[in-house]
Amino acid sequence: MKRTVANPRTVQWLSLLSALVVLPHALNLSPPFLLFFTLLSSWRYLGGSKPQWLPNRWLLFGFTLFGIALTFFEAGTLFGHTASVGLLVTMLALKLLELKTVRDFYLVIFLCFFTTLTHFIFDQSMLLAGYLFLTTFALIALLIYQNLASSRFTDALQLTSKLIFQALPVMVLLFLFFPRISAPLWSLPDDSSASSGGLSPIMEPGSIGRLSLSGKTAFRVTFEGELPPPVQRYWRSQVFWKASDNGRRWVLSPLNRWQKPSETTVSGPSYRYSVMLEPHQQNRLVALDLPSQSSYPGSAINSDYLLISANKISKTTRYSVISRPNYNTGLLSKEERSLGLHLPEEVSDKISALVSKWRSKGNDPALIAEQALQYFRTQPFSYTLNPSRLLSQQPIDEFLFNSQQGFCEHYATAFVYLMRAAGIPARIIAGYQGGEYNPVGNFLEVRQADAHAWSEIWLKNKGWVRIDPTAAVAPERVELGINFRDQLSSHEVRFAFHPSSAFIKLGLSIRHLLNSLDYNWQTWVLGYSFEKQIRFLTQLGFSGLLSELLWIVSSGSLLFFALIAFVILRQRKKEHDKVARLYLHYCEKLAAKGIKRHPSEPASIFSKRAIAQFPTLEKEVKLITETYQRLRYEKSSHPNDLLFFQQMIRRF
Amino acid sequence: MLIVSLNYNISLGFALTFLLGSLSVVSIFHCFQNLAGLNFQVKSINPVFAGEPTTINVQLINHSRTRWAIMLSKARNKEPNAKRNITANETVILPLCIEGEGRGRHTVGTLTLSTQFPLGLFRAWSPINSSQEFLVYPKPSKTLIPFQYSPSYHAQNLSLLKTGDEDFSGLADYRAGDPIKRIDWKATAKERGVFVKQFEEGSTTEVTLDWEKVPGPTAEEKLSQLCRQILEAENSSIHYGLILPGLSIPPASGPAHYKATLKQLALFQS
Repeated sequence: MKRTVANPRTVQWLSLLSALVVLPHALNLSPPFLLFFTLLSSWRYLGGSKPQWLPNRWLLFGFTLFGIALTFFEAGTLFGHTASVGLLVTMLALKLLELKTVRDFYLVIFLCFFTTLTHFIFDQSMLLAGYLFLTTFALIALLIYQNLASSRFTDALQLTSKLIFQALPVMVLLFLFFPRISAPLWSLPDDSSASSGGLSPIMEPGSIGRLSLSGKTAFRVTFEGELPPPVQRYWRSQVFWKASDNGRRWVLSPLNRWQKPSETTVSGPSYRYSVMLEPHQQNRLVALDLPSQSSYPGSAINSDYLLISANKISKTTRYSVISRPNYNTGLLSKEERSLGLHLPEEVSDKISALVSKWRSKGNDPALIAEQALQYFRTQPFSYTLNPSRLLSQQPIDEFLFNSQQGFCEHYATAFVYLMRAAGIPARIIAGYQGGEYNPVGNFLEVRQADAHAWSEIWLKNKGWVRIDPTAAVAPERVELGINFRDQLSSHEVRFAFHPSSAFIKLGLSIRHLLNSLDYNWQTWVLGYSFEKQIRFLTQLGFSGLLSELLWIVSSGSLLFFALIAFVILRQRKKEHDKVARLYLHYCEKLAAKGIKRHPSEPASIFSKRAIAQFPTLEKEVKLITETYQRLRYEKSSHPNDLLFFQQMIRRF
Repeated sequence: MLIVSLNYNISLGFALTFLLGSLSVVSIFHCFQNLAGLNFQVKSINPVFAGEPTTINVQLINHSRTRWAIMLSKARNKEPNAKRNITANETVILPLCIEGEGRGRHTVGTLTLSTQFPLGLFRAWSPINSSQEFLVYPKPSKTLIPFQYSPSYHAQNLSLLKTGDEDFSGLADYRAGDPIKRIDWKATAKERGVFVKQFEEGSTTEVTLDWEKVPGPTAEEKLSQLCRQILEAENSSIHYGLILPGLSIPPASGPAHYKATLKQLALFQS
């Protein structure tokens, strides 16, 4: 069997299919890999009809060396995701090229399946899954086709659907109950944690502006119970303390990240919700102001009231949080106070003048903050995504007194700068604001476009208080969020977005439906993890022990396979039964005439008895008995026998 | 694949792995079902000469659904013949060539019916035990030793092959409708014209092939020579008789006689 040569037509199909399987890697691999693969697989395709064109052993060896070298030079290493996948694709191409026997054929099919698997390391979207399901289906069909003798390909497709349909129940069972593990067994150097969007760790004017044009989902939230009102939907993610370059650049807290928060008193309602966070390769999780408890393993709430995780979020992650919107963070530590008042350079005269004007009316920090907001409101400030660039040495001055147009981060940085100049501890908070409620899936969807920056000032009896200066200028930004589609086309911000025409409404509901579909896909298919499995098991009434899991998997699989075996193998018995039933019918007919068969009486003896009693029926009885015996006990009965038997008994 | 899925916790990887896994288990049932309940019968086998392959025909009778890619082989681990699909309620004959057996009577013994349907990962097989017998005649000798003719035999006749039941009488001009077989091609080649060999109804030649009179160091060589002589005689439509130690077949001709004489050669025990 091993030496049987594979059918050249099938091999041509295989080379086409493997190209389709590799195709989505165009996004992950560099062009030389794809070029190499395309070259080799088309060579193989041509070789299907012209075997003399296929390369000899030495050339193949050369190609192999070239493939390894290519991987090494392209990826810089032979390990790591991209390198491994590159190597796999190269080897698939080489194996395809030297495919001769049926055994090679199986190997290539397996390599194709493995390549399919590697796609999921990079992307698990519904679209890709659908595409790869089709290629997997075709691969199985091809495998079946190879094993059929001179059949049409449609036969193979039909058989494939049947087989997959029968295999599905066990697949689902294994998917749900096969023990998952929570931590990776090993990890390859993460070579391509390419910037996957999200907030950057440095705040500069424009860093959020870029995000605001991105319609990508940042995270989704499902609330248990009521949603907080839009004005409270501030999703906290980063805190910027330290300013440099005259307030142009702001960097994250230099404090110990894992420091515990100070004594906090909370009151009012609490919100329980779970967040499905898209990967962003950083340690931070998002939470509604102010998180008080989180379920994510290895996560903690630090002194900045940020929810941080021990490991980087490199895949879609789900965690649940409890947040309390009414809080008092209490006292300020010495360190925090000095950081919160820190200004890198001398404050300009214009700013000092402005601040001292405010201070002259009273030294109450809350009052000063109110006057600063008043300043934003009364001066001709405007909110735009396309502000003129602040090029001068004094960017805050330029913004406050000249350009007076900017984005949330302009307002937040300027406000914090002003507060610090006035001697009020202040800091910048970055995160997301708002989110679109999806009524289909009952969740809140927050996009990168909802990225926002605001500020917090420390007040004596209240602790850190959130102040959003952007809201002073453009309250709609906070109330309604940005309609980023409009921004894309016009680069002008229009806040009031009310679905007016039916067409827009339809578009909106389709978008909701798609998002909801994607959300469920994320939650139930991709997000099915160790934790979820345990929760699912507990809901079913199991304790979630590993041994129990294995027990369910094995017994369940056995049960399903037994069921499938029964369904598949039943057909054979049916035929056997038909003969017996017909014979029984014949016995009944004879019984009506007055001769009864004893339950243990062999057919031959019964027939002799019947003939003795009714000599006129001799010929028929003999023939029926003979056919019966042949059908029942002989291996070599003719297909027509059954039909004949049936007719004879009917006529009898 | 499972390990990779486990390591990176790729849900779709699990799905793919489990799909393929349970698919292969399901394929076991299909593999079994594909072969189960197939009826077979080994057909009678035409005798062959030693050294030639024997073709065993196995009739397969399918009472139920289509059977896919059924293969037949001599033994379980031997290379099978071509795959064959059998549609519902169809009867097909699968031929199997087995390589040269020695002279004598053989039984088919055990053949193997197998299938690798559907995925080629598993193989179901069933032994076919058959007591069907077949004969292998001796291998015809390469050199022909002239017959020991009966008195009525005309020597020149031997050079003419396939002449029917008549004797050669001369050549005649070709006329349309004359059988091509009888054209004297040698004469045609020499450009003498197209002639047709003419035959006369005449004395039937007779020859007796005698074990004692055939030279040869071993019994097998003698049998081999006798076999060749029978072939020649049958081809030349000469009536031939056979004398073996303790056995004598009177001269005759025709397929039945031919088979009967060769059978004696096949079964001869010295």
